[in-house]
Amino acid sequence: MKFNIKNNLPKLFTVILGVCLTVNTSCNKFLDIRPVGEITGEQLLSNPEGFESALYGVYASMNSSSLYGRELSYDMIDVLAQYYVCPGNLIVENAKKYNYQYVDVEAKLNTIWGDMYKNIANVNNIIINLDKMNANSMRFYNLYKGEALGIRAFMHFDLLRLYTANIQNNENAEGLPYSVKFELSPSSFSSAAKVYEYIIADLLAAEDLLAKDVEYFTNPKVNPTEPFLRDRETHFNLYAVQATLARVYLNMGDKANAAKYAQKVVDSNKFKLMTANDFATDLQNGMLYPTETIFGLYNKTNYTLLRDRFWNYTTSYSYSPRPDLLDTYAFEEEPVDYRISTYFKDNMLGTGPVKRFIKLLDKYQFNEELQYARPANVIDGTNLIRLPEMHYILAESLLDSSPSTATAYFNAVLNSRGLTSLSNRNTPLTLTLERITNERYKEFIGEGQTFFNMKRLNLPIMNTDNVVVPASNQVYVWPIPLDEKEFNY
Amino acid sequence: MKQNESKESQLENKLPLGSYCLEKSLFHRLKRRSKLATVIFSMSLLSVPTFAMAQDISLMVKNASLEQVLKEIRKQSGYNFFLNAELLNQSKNVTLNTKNKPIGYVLDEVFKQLPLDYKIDGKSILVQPKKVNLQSNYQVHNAIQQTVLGGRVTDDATGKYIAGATVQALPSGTRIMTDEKGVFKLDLKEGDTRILVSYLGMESKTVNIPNFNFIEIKLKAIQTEIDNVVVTGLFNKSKESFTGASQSFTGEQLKAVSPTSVLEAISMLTPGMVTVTQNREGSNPNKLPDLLLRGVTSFTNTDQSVNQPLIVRDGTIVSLQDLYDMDINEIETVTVLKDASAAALYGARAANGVIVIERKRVAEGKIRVAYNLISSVQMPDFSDYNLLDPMQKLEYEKLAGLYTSADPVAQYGLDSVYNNRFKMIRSGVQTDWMAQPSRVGFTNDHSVRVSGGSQGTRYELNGRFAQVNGVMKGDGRDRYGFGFMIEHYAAKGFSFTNRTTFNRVNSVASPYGAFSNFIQLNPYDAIYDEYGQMNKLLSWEKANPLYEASLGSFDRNWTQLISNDFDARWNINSNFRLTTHWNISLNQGNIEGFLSPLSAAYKDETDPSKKGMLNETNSKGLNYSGNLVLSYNKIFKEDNLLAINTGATINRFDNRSSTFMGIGFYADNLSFMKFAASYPDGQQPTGVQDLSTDLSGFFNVNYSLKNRYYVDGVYQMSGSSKFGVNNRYGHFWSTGLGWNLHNESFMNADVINLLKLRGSMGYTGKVNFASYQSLTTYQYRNELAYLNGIGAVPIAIGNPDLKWERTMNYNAGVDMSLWNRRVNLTADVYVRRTTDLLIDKTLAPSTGVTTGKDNLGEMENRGIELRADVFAVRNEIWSWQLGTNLQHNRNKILKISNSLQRLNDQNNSVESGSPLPQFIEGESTTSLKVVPSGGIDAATGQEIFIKRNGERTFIYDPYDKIVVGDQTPVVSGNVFTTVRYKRLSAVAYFGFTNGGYIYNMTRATKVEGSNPMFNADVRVLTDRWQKPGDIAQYRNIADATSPKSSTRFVEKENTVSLDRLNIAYDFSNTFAKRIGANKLSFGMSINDLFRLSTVRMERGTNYLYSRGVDFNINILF
Repeated sequence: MKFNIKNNLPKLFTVILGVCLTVNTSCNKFLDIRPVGEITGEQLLSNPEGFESALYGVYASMNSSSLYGRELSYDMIDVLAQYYVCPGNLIVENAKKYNYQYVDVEAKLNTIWGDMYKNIANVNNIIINLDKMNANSMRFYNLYKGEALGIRAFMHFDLLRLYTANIQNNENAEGLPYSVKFELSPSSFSSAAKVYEYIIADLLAAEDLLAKDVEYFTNPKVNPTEPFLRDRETHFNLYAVQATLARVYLNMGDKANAAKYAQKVVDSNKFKLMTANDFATDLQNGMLYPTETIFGLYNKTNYTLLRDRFWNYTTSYSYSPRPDLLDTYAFEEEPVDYRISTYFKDNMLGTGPVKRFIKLLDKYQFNEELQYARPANVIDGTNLIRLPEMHYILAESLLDSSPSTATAYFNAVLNSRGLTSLSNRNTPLTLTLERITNERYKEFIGEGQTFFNMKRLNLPIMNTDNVVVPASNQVYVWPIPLDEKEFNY
Repeated sequence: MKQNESKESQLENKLPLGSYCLEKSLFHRLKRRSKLATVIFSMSLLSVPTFAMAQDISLMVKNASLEQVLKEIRKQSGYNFFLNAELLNQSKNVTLNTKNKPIGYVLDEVFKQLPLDYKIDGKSILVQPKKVNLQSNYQVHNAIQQTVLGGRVTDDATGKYIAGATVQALPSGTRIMTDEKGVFKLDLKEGDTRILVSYLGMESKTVNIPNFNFIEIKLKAIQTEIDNVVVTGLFNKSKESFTGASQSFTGEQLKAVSPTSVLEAISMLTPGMVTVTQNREGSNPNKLPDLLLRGVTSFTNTDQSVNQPLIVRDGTIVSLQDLYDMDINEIETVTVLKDASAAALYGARAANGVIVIERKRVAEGKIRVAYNLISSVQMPDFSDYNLLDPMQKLEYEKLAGLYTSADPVAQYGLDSVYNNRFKMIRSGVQTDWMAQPSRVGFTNDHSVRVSGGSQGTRYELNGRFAQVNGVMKGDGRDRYGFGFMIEHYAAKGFSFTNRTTFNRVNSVASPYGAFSNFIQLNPYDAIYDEYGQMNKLLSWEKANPLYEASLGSFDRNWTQLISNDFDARWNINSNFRLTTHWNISLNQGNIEGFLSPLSAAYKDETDPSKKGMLNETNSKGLNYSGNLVLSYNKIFKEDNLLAINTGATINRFDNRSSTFMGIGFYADNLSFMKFAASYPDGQQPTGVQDLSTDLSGFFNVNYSLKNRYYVDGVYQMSGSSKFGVNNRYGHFWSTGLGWNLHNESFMNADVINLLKLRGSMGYTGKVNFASYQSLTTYQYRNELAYLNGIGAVPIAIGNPDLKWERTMNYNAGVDMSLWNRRVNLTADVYVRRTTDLLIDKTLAPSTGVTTGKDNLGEMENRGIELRADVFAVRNEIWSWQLGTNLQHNRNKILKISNSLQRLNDQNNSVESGSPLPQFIEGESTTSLKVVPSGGIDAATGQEIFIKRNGERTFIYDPYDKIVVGDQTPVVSGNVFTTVRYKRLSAVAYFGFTNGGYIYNMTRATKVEGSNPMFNADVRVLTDRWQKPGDIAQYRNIADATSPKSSTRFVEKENTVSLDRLNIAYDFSNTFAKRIGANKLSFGMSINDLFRLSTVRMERGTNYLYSRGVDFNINILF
């Protein structure tokens, strides 16, 4: 039993070789570990569950407070639209003067830029990984890709509207990077016109991919068991794509196409303007509008913040509606605008009742008596595209070519808000761009659309001190972060 | 009897062919005293059972073979026979009839019938052909042509046979290997005079060929001799052929330097190793020092943990805390591997060097009890403080304008306050606030080891209880340890060791909080009011920290660790050896912090359900590691040696912790989570998991030519879970050359005992980032919950190109010993260039991230290390040794990124007590950058700053900062002297640093930037500007604004300190016996006896420094 190394050498080497081969594969396995709750991108983005999680991650991130969860829905962007006053709050004061160089304002704008692109990068990673896969490998492949492309275009479009000059004023306006990458090197700047092209290309592709939403998106809503098909309005669905296309074309001044896509959404019959009755029960406060929301984000953690900001009254943190805001709702000799009673409520403060803005406050949390009466089908969240906007787009686009159709679409919104049609007034009125703009101002408070509309139309802005700020790029174009200019070369 | 016979036949089958031996080894002869042990031992070896050791023999045989006869004699007598097997075969048969006759008689009877002769050597009987003159058989060589030499090779320590040892006849070179019973039979050639016996891991031995043909050779294991090997943690290298820079010492040496602190001892004994001075933390026993070896290799704004050397204990990577809390009595050796040549074995972890700890093995196979006691008495050291007395303090307040107001009503109030205080002082109020939280700290560290077993199997049980109490009241660190270890030597060269240990550390922070809270207090404040109640509020509305300390608030934590180490070793043959080591350890920890609801922190809170807070963190971890090493050693042509070691290691670390917090405790003593009213608003429980694996393979070749020239090469490949699949493995290598000049014939061996030149170069590495930075990783988070599913987002965009940080090490060194080792010197010079240093890079935010990690930075450390000692006197009675350990290291940043420049700007813009680090290419990481000062304007008492263009201004601008100097000393180290007189020895270690620049925080914050409501340094009264025309060092006494970082506060620091003065006495065995022990020794060590510095600065602001005496007693029963 003597061990002789010489005789056994060949055997030994065979054993070592065998060990090495098994070791090599098991080594890689041994090194492929992640802490709980962490998973490599490659592993996650290889199956339907993973793509869905990644998409939910994108939607949830869109709803972060630096983006649509706050700054781009009711806060910074609506401060710029001069909806609120907040004496003593230096950020608000400076923002309302469009002093984008003020350090805290600049920081906010820089964060918005960074976080938008961060989420775009996340979307890109989804698209890149989808492209690596066979389209037939997953049941909802087209939905994943369509939604992802749609969000990418949607976010780039908002960036474009915020950080570049209005293309209708300047065809050669400078643009920004259209990011389709997920890596540490930046995409280079494209002209605004080019970015529009990219946006439209992505949206058109998304429209094709999401064609099945005709089936999936139901009205009245019948939720299937498949989680990904439930509550399609919380996803970037087919109609969100079409509505965004309408927005984009209108923004470019292409009224024909704007009308075409707005029409598509309206004609889909998936959405319905709310009735007077709906408004009377203020179903929509803090919620996605049950029948009107084309695209919105689910969020239920916002309530405390919103309550402190809009209902409570502490200086330098709480926003009050601009003093003349309520007058605009009563402007046209109409007795009842349902929005007055649902969007605003008296709060008893030291000096007496004060109107507070409550449109965004979840009524089931706001009204303690209703706490346990929450119906099953309501969704807390942030509205990003609603049906009335399509009506306004149609009205505006058709105003010259077909005024009666335009007025009909406009009246439909008026009626649903408790107002009589323009022609039925004591003094019949005609539809004008100004009327549409005014309606938009009233309708979209707290939804971040008004500033974009002012910019699109290059309107001078009547600020909360009733001083007119003339339209200019200083007002309407946010400065691109210095870091971007310095490090994107 | 039958049983015995069957065993014998078994034995016979196993007997080697070449020689025949019926022995009990010579070794046993020495062990005869313990009959029982001998019997057990021989049983275990399947040797001959010898129940009867009777000297008298009864034998009645007729015409029996010699073999039978000898066996019977052996059985009865216990004597073993050594003879050539051929003699047995050739021998005639024997007839014998004796009864109870002595052995000599019996043997005479036997051998006179035969042509053979015998000789009794102890319990062995040598049998030879008759012609041989046995009387002269120890002569070196005789004329008889001896052609075959038989023998056996055994382990000197265990007495076990060594299979596979090489036996070589010299000078002919004929060689053979021993078989599994350690027996060899070597053919001798004419002219052979000696044999050389060598075996891996044993000291080779050359013996003269005796003129009888059987020889017993005992080899000694070399690993017990620290001087001869370098312990790498994976395998041992011979020091002779080692080409790298390393430093080794035994546990006893450590203990002789500093019995209470392993870390302090290691850094004092290793040139190149420094403990980073944390002046704030003083002698806090719950604060681990930072260790640095040969400078820093990473940028850090705060602590140095990223630059800490790797610590390997018995082949397993352990934390600094594990080493800090280790029982010093458990340490066998410590080896510090400084350069690439050794450290490359650990490749990706070795950039900062490696500290290899080997724990003691079981000492002996006999029942032994060893008891070690280390006791310490520590006194707080207030000598750095020079505070104002009550009258001075009041005077300072007045000068600072605290009692002056423009409003006459207010002035009236202030006047009365002043007068009251004045009266109080006059009435004798003088509170020594510094004395309040401090105490004399006692430490007791008991360690007991019980070992036992037989020569094949040994075990040890050990236990430890250590209680450390620092010099701040109420703090403490208790260490409990329990361990069991078993070693087994099996047949065929296998041996196993298993060691299980349990350790627990409980630590409590002092409820008195930071010492700085007490230095601030005004000496005219009384602790108690006239009713004997504690004043809650002191002057200037300050809370009384003594009141806080009297509450139930606490801050404590514990950790415990169960660890099992398994080692196996297989000596395949004389050339090959396979070793493996496995460790599995389970750790648990808990951190608890409670803030009493009565604390002053809640004085503005009205809601009782929000007062009081309990914060709890629980952690647990399961880590395992293993390695497998194959070693090959071969000697060519007598003095050329090839050593190859190859192996693999794996590690897996999985540690997780969860933290939660409760608020609203209704009473001071209800400090349990059960009594929490709620969670704090908006805070949820959190958790952290740290999971990583790595594995590596290495290959090491060492060749020595004629014992003079050495070449060494290491290649190591590391893989880590922190990297993506494409870039998962890092490659590291090193190579070295050595020249043993003392073995050259032209050297005078009487003068030069050792002269070795060596040089090495190679790469070591570091992984210093989280896995998601290289590999895009998605993370599920609860705030990403969406309506119908939970979202996942990438933590960051992974950079798949991230590489390991690599450090290129160049080292050249010389080792020298002269005049019978009276003068010893080791010197090393090194350059370490770290490239691919991982730092943040600012990116265009449109990428989706604002910073990304990239391998951008470069850094360099150059240095010299020296260790020298001289024996001025050395004889049996007296010895006197003088020695020194010195180091010099210069750090230089070669390249940084845009992000670090940004960090510099941030650090510049922050107003802090001391200037924050500035990382500038071409400068050191520790360079001190401040604005040049033009002194204090005599007219206004304001400071004048000098701008870059030389202009003078009162306006401070951080962009005018210039580099004044490096905070790292030019030279630091220690000088030691040892005096021994017989059994008494005394050692003194003097530490010194020279040439480092320091920003004097005391002058900046306690003289100039002092708040007049707080107590301050006495220089505040004497050295500050008070009225126009004053030529002062410090600004206007009424100016309480924070001081600016200017050159006025930078000083060059030189220090000398007597760190340790140790006395040891080793009692004689006779004395020890008198108290029933086998060995007894006693040691005493005085720490920090004095410290002289050119800078007068308060040290130990958070925790006091201490000085005191350590005692240690070692008893072995």
